[in-house]
Amino acid sequence: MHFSIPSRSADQTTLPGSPSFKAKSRASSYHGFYSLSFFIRLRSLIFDLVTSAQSATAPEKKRQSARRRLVLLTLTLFAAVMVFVTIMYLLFANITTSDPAGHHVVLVLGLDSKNYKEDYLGRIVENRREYADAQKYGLYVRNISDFKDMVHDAAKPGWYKLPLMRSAMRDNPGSTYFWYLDQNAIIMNPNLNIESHITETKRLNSLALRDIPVVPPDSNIRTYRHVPADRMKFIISQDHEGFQTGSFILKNGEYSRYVLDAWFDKLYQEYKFQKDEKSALEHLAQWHPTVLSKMAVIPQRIFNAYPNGVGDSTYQDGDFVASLAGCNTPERSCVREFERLWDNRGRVVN
Amino acid sequence: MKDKDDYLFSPVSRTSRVINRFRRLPNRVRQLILRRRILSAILFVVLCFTLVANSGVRLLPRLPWTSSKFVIILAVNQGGGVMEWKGPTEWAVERTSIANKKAYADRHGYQLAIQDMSIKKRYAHEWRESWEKVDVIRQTMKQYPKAEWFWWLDLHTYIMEPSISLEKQVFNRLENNTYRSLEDYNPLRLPVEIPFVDNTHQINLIVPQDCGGFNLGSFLIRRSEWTDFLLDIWWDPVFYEQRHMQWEHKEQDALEHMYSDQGWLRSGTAFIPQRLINAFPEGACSEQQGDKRIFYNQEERDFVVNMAGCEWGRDCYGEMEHFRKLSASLQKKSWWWPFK
Repeated sequence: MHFSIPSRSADQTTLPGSPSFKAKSRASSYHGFYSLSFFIRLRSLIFDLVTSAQSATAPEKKRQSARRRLVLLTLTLFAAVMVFVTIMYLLFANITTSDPAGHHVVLVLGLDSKNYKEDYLGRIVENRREYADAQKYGLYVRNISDFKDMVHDAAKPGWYKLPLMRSAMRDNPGSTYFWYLDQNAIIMNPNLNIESHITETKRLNSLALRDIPVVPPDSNIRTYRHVPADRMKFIISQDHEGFQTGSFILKNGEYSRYVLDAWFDKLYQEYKFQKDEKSALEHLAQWHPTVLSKMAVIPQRIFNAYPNGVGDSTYQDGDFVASLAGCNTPERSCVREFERLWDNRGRVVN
Repeated sequence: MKDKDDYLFSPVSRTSRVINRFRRLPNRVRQLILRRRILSAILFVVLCFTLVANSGVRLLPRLPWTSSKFVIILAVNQGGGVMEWKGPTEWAVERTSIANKKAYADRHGYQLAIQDMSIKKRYAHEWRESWEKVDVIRQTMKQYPKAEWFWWLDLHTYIMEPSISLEKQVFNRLENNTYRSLEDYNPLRLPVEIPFVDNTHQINLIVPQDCGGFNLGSFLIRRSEWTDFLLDIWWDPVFYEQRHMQWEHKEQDALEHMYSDQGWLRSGTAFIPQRLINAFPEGACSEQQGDKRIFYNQEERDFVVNMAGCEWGRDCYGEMEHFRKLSASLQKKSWWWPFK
């Protein structure tokens, strides 16, 4: 395209002040939005860009290649820095955010040094230690008097296990399962592994008792029928009276913190429940579906058999745990019962 | 050197020189714009944006299938006219409040759930009286499955600054806007430290404190597993039986009790300074006159006013009208506003 530049002086008939001059100047001023000179300049700019490579002179070429080299260098440097930063981030970001590795299962034990003799307690700890070492589990032992001021009524010993479990969970953030076993119980078969025996999904699914009344014999609220076992976070058993809180398993997480804190609420402790924390748990399970929906009720013999019991809950040889609940009465003797069972226990098979 | 033909009037007299300068102004402006095309384009876009964006007109149309992350739950029809008569002033107050929230929600693309709080038979005494708030929140969470945050607003509230979005007011700097510790401001004198609290836990409940404790007239709650647990445990027959005679403010007192006793709940709760989402008018909390943390401050253009307790002894209609007019006059913009 070639524009010819009309010169004003060529048109002699236009004089300042005449109407045709006004019209003409207006026309030339508002030629599109751009004046003619703009298009001319644009055209030469495009020409320059297109033909710069071929028509560049020698010093210009050197300048351009030097500049190109500089640009290339800057880009490479920038890319290298980005790669370095990414590698550093990938390598070191994980270190700050990874959880400390912990035992997969932690046994939780609370010792009542006020009411029991030291050597008896030592034997209990030895029993737990043998099991934990055989299965490579963690062991968390505390005196229940540590939690004396948290509990509302120190005369009711059943409540101590709740802050005990809570502090076990706080002190072992990397562990998955926490198994509370009462002090008055003995692990008879140390070869049984918690995962394969209880918590593994298929196994738990087969163990969980569905559609049984939460409070035997015939409470209205029953355990859920269709909740899958991988959602169960609270594993507990039931005897003929109700929930048996001497042995239960909690999975680490939001749910367990909620259940333990809600269960331990001051108003529940002050309320005159018939069986202290057992009744409180039954109350929670009946009134709050968020609690019951993640509870699995399994047969008592799995991890809380009674040696002196009747029916399904009776301890038999090869069972996992024998419970000595209620042994601190004048008729019975915890030490004697423990020693008898201790001698008959299963030995660790390597 | 300008060509003589450029002049419309020959520049002999001073008047004609001045007039020619004015006639040439459009040319000069045009030359300036042409010389700096990119800059002027950017300035033009910025100017349009500032003029349009804050006038309340939506820039981008809201697509019908996108749903907002925020839902405003407005509790209306408190009592439903069962215990006391609902006269024209009550209806007017309700209309004003609903219109205000509707305009706000439309402007920012939030969803508004207007929930009826009439007295239902199942809330008769000895059975969950006045715990409807919890049930309503649960129901609304089911109705809006994609929303994340739910902002509960009582009826007697007014959003004074509708141009401020919730993101800007609260969520963009959530950690800075909220506080978790009761050390500085503890009007209820709750225990400052209880065991088993995790201060790094995600914030799921944002509650303001007023002169008498937690205020549930305007608060925010997030959809989460923690919230499901809270909404379930909030009402419990044992708690209710033991304390409902002492708990004047029902679910508020229950929450205060649980906060002071249960560590998991404290981990997920954060407090927000009252004036950010729940400023009081002069009549509420009247014992604490002049406390800068509580009352609505016109100079600082506080976000929301909650006329708490106006139905007992104060004039709800008068207060609502006052704040409505005040808000309208504060929103009026002068022509130099975009350049302020």
